[in-house]
Amino acid sequence: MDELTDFFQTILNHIDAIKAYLDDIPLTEYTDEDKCLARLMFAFGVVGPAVEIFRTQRVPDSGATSFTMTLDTDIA
Amino acid sequence: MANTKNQNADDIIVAGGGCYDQRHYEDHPDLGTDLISYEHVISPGSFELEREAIFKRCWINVGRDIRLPKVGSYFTKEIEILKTSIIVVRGRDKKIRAFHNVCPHRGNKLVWEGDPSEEKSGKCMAFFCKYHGLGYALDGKMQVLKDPDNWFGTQGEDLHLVEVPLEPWNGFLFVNFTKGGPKETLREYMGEHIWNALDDLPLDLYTEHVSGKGEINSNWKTLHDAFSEAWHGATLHSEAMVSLRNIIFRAPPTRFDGAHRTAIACGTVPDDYYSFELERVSRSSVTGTRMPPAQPIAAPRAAFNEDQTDWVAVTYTVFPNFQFQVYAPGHIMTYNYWPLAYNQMRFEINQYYQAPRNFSELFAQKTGTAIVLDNIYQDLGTLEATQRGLESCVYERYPLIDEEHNIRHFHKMVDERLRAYQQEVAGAKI
Repeated sequence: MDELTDFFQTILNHIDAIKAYLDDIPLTEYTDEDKCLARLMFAFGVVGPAVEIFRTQRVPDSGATSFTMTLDTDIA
Repeated sequence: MANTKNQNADDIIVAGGGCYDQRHYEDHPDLGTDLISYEHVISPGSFELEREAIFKRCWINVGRDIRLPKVGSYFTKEIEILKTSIIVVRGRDKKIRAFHNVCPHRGNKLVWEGDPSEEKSGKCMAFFCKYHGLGYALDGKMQVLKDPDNWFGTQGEDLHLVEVPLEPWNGFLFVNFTKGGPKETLREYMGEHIWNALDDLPLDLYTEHVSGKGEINSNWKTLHDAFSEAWHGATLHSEAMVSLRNIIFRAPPTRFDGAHRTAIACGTVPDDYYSFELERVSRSSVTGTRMPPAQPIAAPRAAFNEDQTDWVAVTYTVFPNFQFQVYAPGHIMTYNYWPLAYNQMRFEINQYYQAPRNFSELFAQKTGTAIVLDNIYQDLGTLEATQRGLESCVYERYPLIDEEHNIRHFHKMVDERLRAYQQEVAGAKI
């Protein structure tokens, strides 16, 4: 949990600059480095609920549940 | 995390706005106020009855046409309660058809890969049986007959796939397994209100898709119940729904059209209100992205008030197992509840967005999805606890509060169909 929190805080400290940078580039014209940065941001969005909302790695009381999500669209 | 505006919950109205004095039982006295039985949630016999009385007689949603963009695009759909699998395919004439996924020679499942219980999608110009190599055209007719001289008469060339009636509703595909064919069109089945409800929605712009799937040890109706009321949000999802913690939910009136219904969650969330830094920086929340889509949408046609402007979500429930939701400011979610056994189900969620114009919009969509998913985990975990509790049979009947009138209506619709089927069967035996 400490690592997740560190990651979350580190991205959060730079998030406005990252968004401003990526927003200036069309989604279809990302370089590999841009894609890497975008995916770091998506990871931030995934760990965010654990860090801020639930304050634990696993969603409380969800022990018996398994669920898979598939995103059909992604950065090119 | 200093920038988050944790406003007093009393300042925020996110649901039920203006309708706090509504008493649903007065609007729908036919639903009654008695305790209800959950026998059909814990009974293997009821599961069998639902197959015959409901799923073999109703129009059932099996997906959306954007999964079939080209000639030959197809997907298979497992419908366990009917012990069947279907192929949904776009033919050479661009028409979408559904067929039973069974080779008429020796009954092998026609389209599958790896595990025959898994669904498959792709693109092809014919379906070939893995067993003996017979090939069927996209319209179901025999196309490749192996060893044609070795068949008796025309038995080989007469083989064709069995078509399942299919009708679209705004691109959402419904099939019908009624013996002898559907007794009514999809439009007649839905009624005019729901049939026309999406007329103003630019669905062709909703090209971005997120899908989720999970199996839960619970009856399918238990999850349907959970997503038929918002009351549980203030308790079960209190971590995420900070603004709801002190709110007593009183939903506006639901419109019932036969077994189907239209419900609206109204209210407003101020643009600058966020409970968490994550929400603020991504502009998303427990209901998904809060960024307006490229083409703004008007308020969907709600239950009664066509001019409703303060809306959070409108839900169209198509009996028995499909819900279509429009969330403000403009994304879509659908739910499908598939029975697998009396105490097991598969839940499918699909989110649709308009194409993001920049990173911030994509980020909001993805983060919104992550927050929604975590909250669904809480719902699903609780379901298993509910199923276990119900199966202990400590109580015979359970109370529903007025706010849970949608559940009361749903169970009434189920009960009526089971009873009618039983009477029909009993009558046929006399």
